[in-house]
Amino acid sequence: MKGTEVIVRVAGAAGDGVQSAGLIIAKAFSRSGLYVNTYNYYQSLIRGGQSWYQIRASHDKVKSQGDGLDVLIALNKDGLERHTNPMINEGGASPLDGVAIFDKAITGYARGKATYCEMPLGEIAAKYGKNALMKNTVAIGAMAAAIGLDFDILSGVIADQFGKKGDVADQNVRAAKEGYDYYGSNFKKLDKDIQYGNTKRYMMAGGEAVGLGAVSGGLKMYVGYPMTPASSVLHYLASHADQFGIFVKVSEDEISAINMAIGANYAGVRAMTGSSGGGFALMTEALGMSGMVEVPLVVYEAQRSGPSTGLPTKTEQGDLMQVIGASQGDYPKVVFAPRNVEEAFYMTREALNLAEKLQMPVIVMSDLYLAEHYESVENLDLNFKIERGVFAKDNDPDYKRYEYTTSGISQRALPGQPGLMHNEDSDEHNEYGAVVSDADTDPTLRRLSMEKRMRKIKVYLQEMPPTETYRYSDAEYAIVQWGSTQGVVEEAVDILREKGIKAGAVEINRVYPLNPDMGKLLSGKKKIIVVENNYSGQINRFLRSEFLVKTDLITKYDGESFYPGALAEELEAVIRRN
Amino acid sequence: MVTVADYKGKVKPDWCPGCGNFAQLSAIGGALTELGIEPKDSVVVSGIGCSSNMPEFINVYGFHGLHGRLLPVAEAIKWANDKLTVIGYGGDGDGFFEGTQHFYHTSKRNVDITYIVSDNQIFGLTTGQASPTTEMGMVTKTTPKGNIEKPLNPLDFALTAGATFVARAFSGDAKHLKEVIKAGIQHRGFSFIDVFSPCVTYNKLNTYDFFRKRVYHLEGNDRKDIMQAYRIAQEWGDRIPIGILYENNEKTYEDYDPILSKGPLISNPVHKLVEDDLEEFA
Repeated sequence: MKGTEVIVRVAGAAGDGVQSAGLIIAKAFSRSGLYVNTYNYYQSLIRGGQSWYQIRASHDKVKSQGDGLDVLIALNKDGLERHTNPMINEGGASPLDGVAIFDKAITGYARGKATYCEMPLGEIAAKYGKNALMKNTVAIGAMAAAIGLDFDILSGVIADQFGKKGDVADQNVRAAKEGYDYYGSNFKKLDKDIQYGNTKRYMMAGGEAVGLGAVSGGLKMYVGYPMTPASSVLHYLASHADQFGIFVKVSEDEISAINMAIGANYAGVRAMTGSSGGGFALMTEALGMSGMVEVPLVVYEAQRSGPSTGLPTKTEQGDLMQVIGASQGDYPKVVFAPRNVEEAFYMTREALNLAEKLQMPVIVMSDLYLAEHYESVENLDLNFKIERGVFAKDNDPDYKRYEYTTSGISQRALPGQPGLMHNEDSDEHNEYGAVVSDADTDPTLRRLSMEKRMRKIKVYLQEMPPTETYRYSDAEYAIVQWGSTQGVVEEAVDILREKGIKAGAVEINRVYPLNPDMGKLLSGKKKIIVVENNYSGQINRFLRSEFLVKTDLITKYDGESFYPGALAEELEAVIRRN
Repeated sequence: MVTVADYKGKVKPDWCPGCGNFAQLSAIGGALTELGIEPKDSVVVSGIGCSSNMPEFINVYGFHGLHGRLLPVAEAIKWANDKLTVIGYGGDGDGFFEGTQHFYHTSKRNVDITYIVSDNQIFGLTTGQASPTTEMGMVTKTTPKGNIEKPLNPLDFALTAGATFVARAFSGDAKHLKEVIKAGIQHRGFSFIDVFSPCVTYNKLNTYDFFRKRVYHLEGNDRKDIMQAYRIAQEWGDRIPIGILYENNEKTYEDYDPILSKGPLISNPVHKLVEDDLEEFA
């Protein structure tokens, strides 16, 4: 960990206010001109258990939750021990050797090598109000003193957080100030060189970025069914429905959700649905229908640890095969996997355009890590040209909804348009939409219709941007990642480079179909190492079969994200292995 | 001026001669014509089954979707564009097996669409298996010793779910069928019409003769009285009622929703993102 960056962790049980404390800290860093990156470790329960929230911040861009820890705010004994004692530490995060701030009521804990800053958090909080959680605010104040954060900025964030509650905001600010002063009088400031500034940036989670990207992409309807970690998009859009004029619906199940999204798109309204792997599994039959009837559709798929109910609040990249293989038969589809929060914004709106242009399903894949962790976002380009694709002109007596064109794209007609009535059919059909599966099954027409639909993929491939890379021009070792692991993989590459190992990353954000340029990119490397947050190496198998390359594989399937230091060690071991 | 000929589809129906679906095809076209609704403004959404092949045979905007899933598609089309007359059309297997949860929830949402079920009490397209409305004791391919499940009562179900228009008709009584469909389309809210539609190939029990001997037209019932509607829905045996059991004007889902109540989604302007929209993230 560099001296110019700081890592703070808040640990406690569910219901202790861990996450809200973490968000206040992250926002205070962000408003102090630092880049932030957060990590949320929690369980699927409302009270109890053990959760923690980590915030990493620096004047330089921080791409992951990072390694190490400077300040721990422990809200209970378990949290204090777990994060200061290497013997008890769990979850992959590094143990603390900085300062631990905790209430003096916590006693008899197993000690590690941290500096233990026992404070009268509860006593201070009690002076200002009755809410027991106010001791968290006192601790946040102390944390600010420990790392030299401007108290005025922190008080602004606290005031905003409790702003709607009048006096409560003031009480919390005063409680934080006393925590700040108490720490200053009793403990040492950390030896850090954090360069605070005043650059304005936004702090956003992936789910919010997907929602915002959808708005920018002209979305008019979002329909879903609650399931972690896809719900954050539903929540963001539902709470902004009036502001953006978007109709948000929770339907009776995911099958209904996707069919509603298809119905709205069929009638000319940009609509989208989303779920996690379990809900997506229910959607798959209709996904194929979208391909067959050529109705545009965007589906957001936020992965969590599977199989089955799995680990509902833990991250994984285990749904790739499910998503690219979803639904029976062959039909064209495109799958995106944005690599970071900012890209989640851009790719969501691109998906909405692409789906209408190509009249096919486009799936935007995310995971719990991407959906729920916060990142700094800057210079978002809010301008976007909405492209709706091609539509027929009214009153065409020979209108062919599924005309066999060179591109495979044919003109849509919306209900209400005069003189273009036709049938859209989930059965195989001819150019007019008339079924060719019943009385007069026609092998020739079947072949032509299949080829017409599949030709649309060529249009996509022709316009596909080149695969992106990181420190790759002179790389001897190709580290291949997809989706949300971009930041941690890039940081691991940096660590390897510092050691003189010429590693570089190949980053896949368009996972299906794969970019044909990958074959060339991967050729001539000493080793190709694929890094995936799953058990079996799903994109690894896909890469091998598509490009006939020999690869090594590093996986992680414990529900947690990779950490840059540990990943660099694993990569180095693979590189040095004969 | 809309004529019946305007609704004539380009594809000839491939149903068995004598199938109850023919009468419904004519009745739907006839009802839309008599209501002066143009084909361009009519959407028929179907599921999968013999009856669900309907959209091909009628000149409208047709959508032939998935088994059991016609209602969510139909609802969203209405939300997208409320100028459209949206009719959901499917069978008893489609609607009361796989589509049950959609039937329930669309009823309770009171979305302004019309749902017509061609109820032949058997699976036709898959060649004669027991359906959710197959009578007890009936021998089918999947119940060789006779059906041991009680048939689902669609009218009772729709009333319980909260449908605001609940009716029954019979394909052997074409004029009455058309009038009921007309009333259903005119009703503002979710209209459910269960139509006895004899399957001449696979159901030798519930035939035209079976129904002709039993059905009678409801007259003088208080359509706003749900308890009376429940009692009528239970009548089965020598006398089986057809007609409108229940009709109540309530606010629709579209009336309640703050976005939909401003107008159909298709005419909503797209929100152009501005920096102010990002302030909450600062």
